[in-house]
Amino acid sequence: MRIRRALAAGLLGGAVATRTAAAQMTQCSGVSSGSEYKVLVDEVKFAGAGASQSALSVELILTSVQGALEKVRRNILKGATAQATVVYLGCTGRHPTGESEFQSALVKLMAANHAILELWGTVFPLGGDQYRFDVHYVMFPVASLTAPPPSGIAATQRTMTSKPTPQQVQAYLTATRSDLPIYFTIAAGVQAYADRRWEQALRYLCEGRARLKTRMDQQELMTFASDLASKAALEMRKSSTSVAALLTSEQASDYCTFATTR
Amino acid sequence: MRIPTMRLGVILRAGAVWLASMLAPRDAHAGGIASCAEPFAFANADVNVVVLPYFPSAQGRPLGGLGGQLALLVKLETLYGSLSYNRWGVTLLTGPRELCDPKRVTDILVARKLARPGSRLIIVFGNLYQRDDDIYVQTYTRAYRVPTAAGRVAGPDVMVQVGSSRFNGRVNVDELAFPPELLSAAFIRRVADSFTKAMFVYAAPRLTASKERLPLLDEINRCEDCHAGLAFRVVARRGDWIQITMADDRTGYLYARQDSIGLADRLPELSFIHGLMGFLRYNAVGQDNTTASGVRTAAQSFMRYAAREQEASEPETRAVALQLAGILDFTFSKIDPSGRMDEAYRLVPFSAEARNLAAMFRLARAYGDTGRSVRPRAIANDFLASAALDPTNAMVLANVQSVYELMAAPATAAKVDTAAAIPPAEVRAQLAKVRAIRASPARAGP
Repeated sequence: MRIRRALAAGLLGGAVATRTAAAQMTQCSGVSSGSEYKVLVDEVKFAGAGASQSALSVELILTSVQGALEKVRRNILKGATAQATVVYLGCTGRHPTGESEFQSALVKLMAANHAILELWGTVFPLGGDQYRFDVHYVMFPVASLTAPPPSGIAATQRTMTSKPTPQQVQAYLTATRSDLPIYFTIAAGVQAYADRRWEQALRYLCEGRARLKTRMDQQELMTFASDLASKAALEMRKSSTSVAALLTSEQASDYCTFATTR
Repeated sequence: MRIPTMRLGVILRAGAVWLASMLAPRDAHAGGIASCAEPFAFANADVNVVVLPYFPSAQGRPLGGLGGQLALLVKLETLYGSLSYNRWGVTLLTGPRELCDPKRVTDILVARKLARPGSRLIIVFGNLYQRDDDIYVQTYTRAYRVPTAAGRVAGPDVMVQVGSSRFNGRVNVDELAFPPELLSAAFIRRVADSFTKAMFVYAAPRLTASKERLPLLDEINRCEDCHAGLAFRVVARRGDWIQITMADDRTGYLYARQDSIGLADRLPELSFIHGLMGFLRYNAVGQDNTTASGVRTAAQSFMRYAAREQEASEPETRAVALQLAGILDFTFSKIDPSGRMDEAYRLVPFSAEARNLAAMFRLARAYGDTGRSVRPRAIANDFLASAALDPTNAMVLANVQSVYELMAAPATAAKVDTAAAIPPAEVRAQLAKVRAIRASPARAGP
């Protein structure tokens, strides 16, 4: 089994999305209400002839996502003000055909509604007994803040030698579980930065960066998180009663490296 | 001895009243089964474990009562292991999802003082989700330290005195999510089979003895109308059995440990929960003649969990297990836990609390060494990094102040590696800054 993770760099900036494509994407109810952090869980479907067939129930994925994020949820919410909770939206019927459906205006609208993360999956038949399992993530605050890369879009790809079995579903869930906290914390950190909540931004961004540290193919996102954290630290240092005031200029300029390296 | 059905019914109706008087002797162990509609815990226990049903994901197909069956087996496994400790209660609550909401149950237990002020409460709950014949189980725990009658909340989990300075550490066990476990169809059949043996109170510790069905059995299976209850005192282990005494002093037996099913192997979190129960029972709570063996058992449970749990994708609970085992060893046996704290920190380098604990014990070890082993710059940075990871953490910030106060203390000079010393003026400047930060209106001290 081959696992490849890659940032689909530039997809947002470079893709041309048509109004038709955007209009065809099923809306997910609950996005525009409330100020909670929102995680959108879409369908995982078989591509091609069986396009309408779900490979996994949204409910199953939703349960897995909730379990994966439970360990970071409490930390994320600590000290949060407006975002009293995280809501998980099961978006039955929603299955973006690709990143091109996420136009800039849509991304900004989602970020403004505190949508943090969206994920969906597609199983592609490759011919013979080969299948490829793609899981896509959109970090709306990241995509909203940056274009071109890092685009805020990431993908996990997995090639399978047969149609996914329950054991492979478990493997999928495991992969999803370790990816989700990374993308969630970084997206939440960027959102906190946008909301000028510097202490929260630092905590989330440094956590996300530390979780990314072993992913050699995601250095770009790691650098992005690191740079944004250092900007937040500079903002925080303007107050003499902030923890950042205890750090030297050198430590603050590479804040996450100092905080997570021993 | 066969337990007459009518008598058991009387016991059940009287149960709710009798529950309040359970655990009168302070060293008792107690178990219970009740409805989520009327949750209870044992008011005299230092630590209560409340096991809720495992519910299928909302739109999944019915799982034939598996969630309730699993919860009963989890409870019995917990009961069996808990005899290493004292002053505890283990309760299984049954009912529908909306009544068994963990927050609702916790709020009721605390508000009604069913979990007494100053005691500890562990809520165990979980989800089941299905794919074809296989089922994934996800277990969660919430640990709650009930404020004392005077409203005082629990202090730190561990304190280290280094020279004239004191350092506090804490491990966040408030909410834990364990990695999901895959249960095969064959294993699920074994759960159902075990449930048929576990669902009785036996008159003697053998499967052929006369027996009575546990109360709420239908509710455990169907989670609907639950109004009865049962409470019992746990007396001893007899092989795979636990001996219990019921309200009218009659003795019965529960078939608690069914090794053939290997539940503890399939759900490693049961070891963690066992350890957590011991940790919350003994750490910073009154000690007695069971402390030494109880602490040893709890630490072993954590290490058993840490040895089995995969770390690659799920490092958090493994790190917590290492930290809690280290704290128990340090607090009760004065064993240096710095190795475990360092290992935990490597697993979760984004955790301010993990960095803080690693820093505390690295400092304590260096300070305790003969010679000049304390490297002030590295040690101060250790604590500063912890504060940088969580700028809102008051306890960590207090430790930053403590470390600079230690560096400023004359007695520390003899311990310091002079090549790594911090100039006194810098120490004074940092102290002034950290005191100003802690005194700022936006912050409250620990």
